[in-house]
Amino acid sequence: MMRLRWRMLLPMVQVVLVAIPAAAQTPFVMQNIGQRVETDDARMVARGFGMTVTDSLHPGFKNLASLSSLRHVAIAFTVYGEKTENTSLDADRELYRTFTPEIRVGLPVIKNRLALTAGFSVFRSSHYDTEKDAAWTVWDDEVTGVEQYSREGSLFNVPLGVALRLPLGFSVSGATNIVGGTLTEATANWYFEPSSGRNFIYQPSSRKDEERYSGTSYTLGGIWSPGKGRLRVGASWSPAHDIDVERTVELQGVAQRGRTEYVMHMPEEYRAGAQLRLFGRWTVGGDARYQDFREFTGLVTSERNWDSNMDQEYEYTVGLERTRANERRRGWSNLPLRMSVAYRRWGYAIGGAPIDQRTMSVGTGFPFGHDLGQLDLALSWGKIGELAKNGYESDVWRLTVSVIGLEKWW
Amino acid sequence: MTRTTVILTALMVCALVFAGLLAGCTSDLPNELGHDLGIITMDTVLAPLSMETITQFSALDVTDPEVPYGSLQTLYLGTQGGNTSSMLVNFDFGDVFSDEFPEELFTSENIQTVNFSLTMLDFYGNKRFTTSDGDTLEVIEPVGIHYWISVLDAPFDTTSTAPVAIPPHGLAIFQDQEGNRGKEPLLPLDKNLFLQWVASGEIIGFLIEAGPGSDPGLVGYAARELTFYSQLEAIGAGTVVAPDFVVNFVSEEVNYQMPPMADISTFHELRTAPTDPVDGMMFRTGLRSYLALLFDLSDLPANSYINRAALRVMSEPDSSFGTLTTLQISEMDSLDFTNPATSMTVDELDRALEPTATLSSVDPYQVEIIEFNVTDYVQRRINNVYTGRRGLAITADEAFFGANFGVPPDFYFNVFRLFGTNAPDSLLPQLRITYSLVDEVNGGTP
Repeated sequence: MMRLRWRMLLPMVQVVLVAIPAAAQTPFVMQNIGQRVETDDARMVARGFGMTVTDSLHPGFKNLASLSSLRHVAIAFTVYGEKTENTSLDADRELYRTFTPEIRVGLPVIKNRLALTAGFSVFRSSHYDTEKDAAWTVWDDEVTGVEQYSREGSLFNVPLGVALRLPLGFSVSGATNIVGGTLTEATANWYFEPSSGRNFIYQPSSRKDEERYSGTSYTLGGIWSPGKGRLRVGASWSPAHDIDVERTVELQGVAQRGRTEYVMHMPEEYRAGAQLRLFGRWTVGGDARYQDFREFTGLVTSERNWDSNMDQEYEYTVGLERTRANERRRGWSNLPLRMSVAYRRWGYAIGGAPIDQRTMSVGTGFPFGHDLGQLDLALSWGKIGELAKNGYESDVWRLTVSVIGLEKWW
Repeated sequence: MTRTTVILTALMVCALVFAGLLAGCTSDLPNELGHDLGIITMDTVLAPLSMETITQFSALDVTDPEVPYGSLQTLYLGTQGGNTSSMLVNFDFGDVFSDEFPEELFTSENIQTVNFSLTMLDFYGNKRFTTSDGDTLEVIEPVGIHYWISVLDAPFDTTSTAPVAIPPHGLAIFQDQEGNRGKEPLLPLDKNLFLQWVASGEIIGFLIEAGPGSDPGLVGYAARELTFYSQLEAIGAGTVVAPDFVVNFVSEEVNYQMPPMADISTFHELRTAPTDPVDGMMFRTGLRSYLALLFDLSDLPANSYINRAALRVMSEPDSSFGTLTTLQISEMDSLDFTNPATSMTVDELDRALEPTATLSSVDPYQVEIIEFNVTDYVQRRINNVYTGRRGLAITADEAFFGANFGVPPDFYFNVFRLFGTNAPDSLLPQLRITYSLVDEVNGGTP
């Protein structure tokens, strides 16, 4: 059966690998520390809550305390395909991309009591490029060409954690997150005319800045599931931490490179969530997250005077789930149904105004044989920013697919 | 429907949705949307900077030991640009007779005419149409020459390795009074004189000059060493293209052609190359005279990116002359050239140069601005690629560059007179640099 499961995954993986359009996000990632990446699995995206998961057959990794209920080795990954329609006052641009933000593994040490976890999780990402016609005058030449700009990179965690079930319905977790990543910003001027045959008279000039991040953060989490678990609450806290940054500034063709080091101070992060089983198969819940990026400090240069643009980053999601059933001959009605709405305030402003993101999601899931895993889908539509306030606006369509496989390795 | 079928169906639906959403979809190319949100910038873009201070200069006197002066393929006659040359030709009259042309044939009765023959290089014998001021056609007629021929008091010294003074000689035995614009002039001589020379059986030297009334101009002719027949108009098989005597017999259908045993250009007046750039600069082929110079780049901001660097020298078309010329700019270690002049062989030049850029078909009569792309050179200096300091050398397209499949640089006598550092601003030799800069690049170590 295990072999069959992985064989079934192949078509999806192939589609993901083949369909790799230009990876790009929205123009909002052109500044500051980039966009927070949604690492929630498709089930959490669709139903809007994930901090309170205690399901041993469908574990979650958003709150590592969830893993205390593990009975099997769990391997989970999430991919999403995204279409964004971006608008500014002057131009439109439609973009497609695929992304794999997270891969996680959970290992039960003592079944339903103690588990270890590791993985890879991208939590900040920037990927966008632009090109604009430009003209210069030098000597007696009227030079025409383009200015290009690109920003690409990510910050990721390698979380190494432990989850423990305690009496009275409490579960707790602790994780050390190895933080890494890079961000490359590049600008290039191409001078197409005047030209000599196929050769440009003026060689293009390009600048590339690269930052390499390394650091460590910690996360503590907990879930309280009193009584029979009709109500569950969960929370996690990541204290403020520093990320060391090695910064290299390179002007193409010039041997000298500017190298500097600085420390990026990341503010503490709070997460909380709750869920309440209503009646029958229906559950309602929500998650919240808060990180005050006004406490963020980083490199300040004439080009990166970000401080005045930093803002409180927070989000709320609330949703409803009709959980899966296993009744014979109920067919599709056994499938779970999920829907949610989310609101996010980005951690920085664009155009002098905060960036608001609103998202609606629906989804479902399909269990693997013998309940040893799950395939979940979520379809989301969101709107980022407002043309009138930010000067930019993006509509985002996203299909999130998550797979979790369970196996008894011992 | 089995459970597995349900799962497979779901997966297929999932795959199709994915395919529909992504496959075949193409992101729009980058445009200006979001451009003003970009953070980093080039602090300086396409900034112009003119460098005009030459800190080291050398006129390069280059010789080729494998092709000594007396073995050049061309002979030059006339005056142009302060250079004047005549021809010296030695004939061995002790080696005239043969089975085909026995001694008894050389009598006054048997000889109808005796001519002295020259073969002009095709370039100098044609009307040339050149444009000036865009579309105005200017016609350059072939130079008209009044040939004078004199007998030297003694054969010239064939071991000369450099231009020579005109040796002592007698009065002209031939004076062309009308001028000759022909490509293959036949200059009639007194046959009795010729018979006297034959009778003497000696080696006799002759001087061929451009006499009074000749048009100004330095004209090239085939020498006995000529191998590039492509530079001549079509000639008949067996024709002697070097200076020669052509004897036409009364009874013979075949002319006797007497080739020289040695020939040489005198260049008894040769304008020397300035050794101080204040006085101008000169580039010359034929008798190679190149130049090397080193500009002061101290005004260029450190760690600039060079979008373009051009060595610009201004030519004086009125005092430059010659054929279309290929000019080569090369890097040259400043230790290899010294103020004010450097003498070196072609092999030494080969070892000293790193070619950078080439300008083809430069017309000395037309060109005013000669501009070499030396972008990479300046960038290398900025990057301190070299342990020493390198300057620039302007040379002809020497064979060692590997791209010249035509005549060697010692074939045509081409001269470019270039304005020096004392010229008006618009005519100064200069490095025109266009650079970009990012201030933050200077903030660390390479």
